Amino acid sequence: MATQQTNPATGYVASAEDIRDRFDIDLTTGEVIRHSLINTCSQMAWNLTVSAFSSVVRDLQDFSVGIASPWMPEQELELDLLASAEGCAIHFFTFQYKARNNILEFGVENLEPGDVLVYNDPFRGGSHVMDIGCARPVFIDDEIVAFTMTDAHWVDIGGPVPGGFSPGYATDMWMEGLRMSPRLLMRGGKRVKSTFDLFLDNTRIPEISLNDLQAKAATLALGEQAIRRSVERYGRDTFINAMRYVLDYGERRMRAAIAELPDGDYEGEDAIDDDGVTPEEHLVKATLRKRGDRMELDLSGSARQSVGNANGQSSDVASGGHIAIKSMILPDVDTNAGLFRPIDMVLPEGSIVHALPPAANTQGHLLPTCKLSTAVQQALADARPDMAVGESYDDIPTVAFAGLDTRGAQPAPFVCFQVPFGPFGGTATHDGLSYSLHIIGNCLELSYEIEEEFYPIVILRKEFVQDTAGPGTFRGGPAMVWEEMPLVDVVSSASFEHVRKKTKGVFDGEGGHSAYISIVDPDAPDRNAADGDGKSPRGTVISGMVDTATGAIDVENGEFRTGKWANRQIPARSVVIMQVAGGGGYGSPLERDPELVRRDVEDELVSVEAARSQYGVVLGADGLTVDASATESLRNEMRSAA
Amino acid sequence: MSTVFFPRPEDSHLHVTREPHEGQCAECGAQDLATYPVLAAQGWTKVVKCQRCLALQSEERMPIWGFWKPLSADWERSIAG
Repeated sequence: MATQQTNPATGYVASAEDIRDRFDIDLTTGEVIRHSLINTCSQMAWNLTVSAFSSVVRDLQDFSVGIASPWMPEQELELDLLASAEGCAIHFFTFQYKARNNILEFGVENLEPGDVLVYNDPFRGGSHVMDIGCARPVFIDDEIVAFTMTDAHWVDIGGPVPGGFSPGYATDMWMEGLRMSPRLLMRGGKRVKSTFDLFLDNTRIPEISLNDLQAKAATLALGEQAIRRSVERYGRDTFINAMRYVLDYGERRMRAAIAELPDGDYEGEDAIDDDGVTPEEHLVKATLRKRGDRMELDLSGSARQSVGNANGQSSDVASGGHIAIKSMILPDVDTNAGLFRPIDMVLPEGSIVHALPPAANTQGHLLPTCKLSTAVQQALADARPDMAVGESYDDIPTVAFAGLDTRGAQPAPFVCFQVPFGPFGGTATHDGLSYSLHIIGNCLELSYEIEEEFYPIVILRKEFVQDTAGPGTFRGGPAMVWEEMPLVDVVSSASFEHVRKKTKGVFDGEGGHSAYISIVDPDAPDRNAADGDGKSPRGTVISGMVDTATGAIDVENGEFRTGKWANRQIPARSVVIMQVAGGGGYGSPLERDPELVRRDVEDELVSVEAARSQYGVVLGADGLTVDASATESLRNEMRSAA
Repeated sequence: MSTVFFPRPEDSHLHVTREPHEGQCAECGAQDLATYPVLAAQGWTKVVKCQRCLALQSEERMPIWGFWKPLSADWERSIAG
């Protein structure tokens, strides 16, 4: 615990004495309460994990929990996020807008002890309709002293596409599922039947959803108990003062981190492949203005709203911007609303980063925010080249299979929702991570054993693909490929990015291989063949840049087939092959340590041929030793040619 | 103009307009102030800021929904919201 923190821009030093003067609280107590709030969130998160029925909450952990301040403007406490915990990163950033807006719209004065609010409207500070938000006031006597909050993904919230997301399908918000303004889920500790019915009558999986709703309500109550214990122990006034301290701590740390960067205007940009409805690319442009300990992230110049549902909500996109900045300059501080204070978001209305009703927006929860993180990484790399990083797989892909599970005594409807992970880009010091969810997600992967137990889906293959990592002094992570076989007829949807182009490398690093999806018919002769280098997929490529003569992937000249589609009928025992993009490399591949290249060959991440053609590394006849003199000679030749 | 629904803009790329604002920065003295909407920590806010040092000169909170508004926005709330 730091007892003094200095802001290099202003010279301000936060000492224990200063904290006492400003907040009437001793620093130790402030820190204990700050950590107790974080720990309470961790307990809430585990409670939800062990009690939820849906795999997307229980296993993927596509949720977050948080604690917000009360509405006390005179204390500079305005329903601000105080702490959050494990789970989906973008959820705990959107708390600041989503929970806050919905509580204010409902009316703080209308809340009673034991109440729980529920809401999911993307245009009310939310993310997308599948993320169901809940908030519970924590009363001490007649006063609200805090709110506990959850935001958790629902596998199905109605609408025409099982599993939601509606990639390449929805063109307005009414096509995406049920949209709800804030309302009471619990009143005085009792379930509000009409609200529960509203949810349960509008989902394909009501039993699972009912349990998840009740698990969320119980999680909020658990958090309330912990907060009440803190208030009883430290007293109401100290607890309130500690909240002010907590927010100041976050603000102070972020201002100090910003101040370390050189002043300037820094730019970055990235583009969404398409929305699956039209082939139009959608630019996300970012200008990061930094002065002293302040920042503005201006997304002027970004594309207008899409026809389909690639449209981002302002709160989502702003949260993506905060995550991108924080992950680069202040990764070790727990998130609270204080971190937001030095950074303003400038978001042109009607754009892909700030869509307005009735724009379809479910995929916009993911696509513009992923692109923005890449754009911010580019911008910050201009300010601090040591922070540069090759592009990640730059996506949170989604896949859904829905149908009737006929394995039991009674056919049962199911919706299997998957979020394929992928690689990150190389950095100044390390190769890119091989397998992780994008930084805005931070969820876990569904266990395949559980998946095969719960759903009539068999996972046939999952492995890294040779020669897909962007070459570099520090290469990107390799692409990952999955092969899955539904045992029953299914209706499927998917959203994959970087189908249209490779990922980008930095400082002469090269891009990683593009993504694709192909489907092999149940009776195809090559159904059980092994895929080779990931560039000549079996079956029919339905998403990718395709050489129509050969069926192979040709990212430069191929025919574009969108990676976003919905309601595709897939017969039982088909094989669905999905490959995400490879990560971009950092620095020239000709500067990579030949021993690292040899190790990649040994690990089958790089072929002997690619070691030579991409890295200029010549291996001996056994393929496992480096021919040093031949390598030096070849690299000199390649440098001269370049 | 409707505050509930909005058409897709005709311009392919969009910008936030920074309207020049009379005055001098209270912090750095620059006569380079502008007013524009930002999504700040406390939600949508119309700010006047120095364009040289980004110091905030004044701010005005916008409706919590930002640029759209539900038809029921100004209704008196019942105990059920």
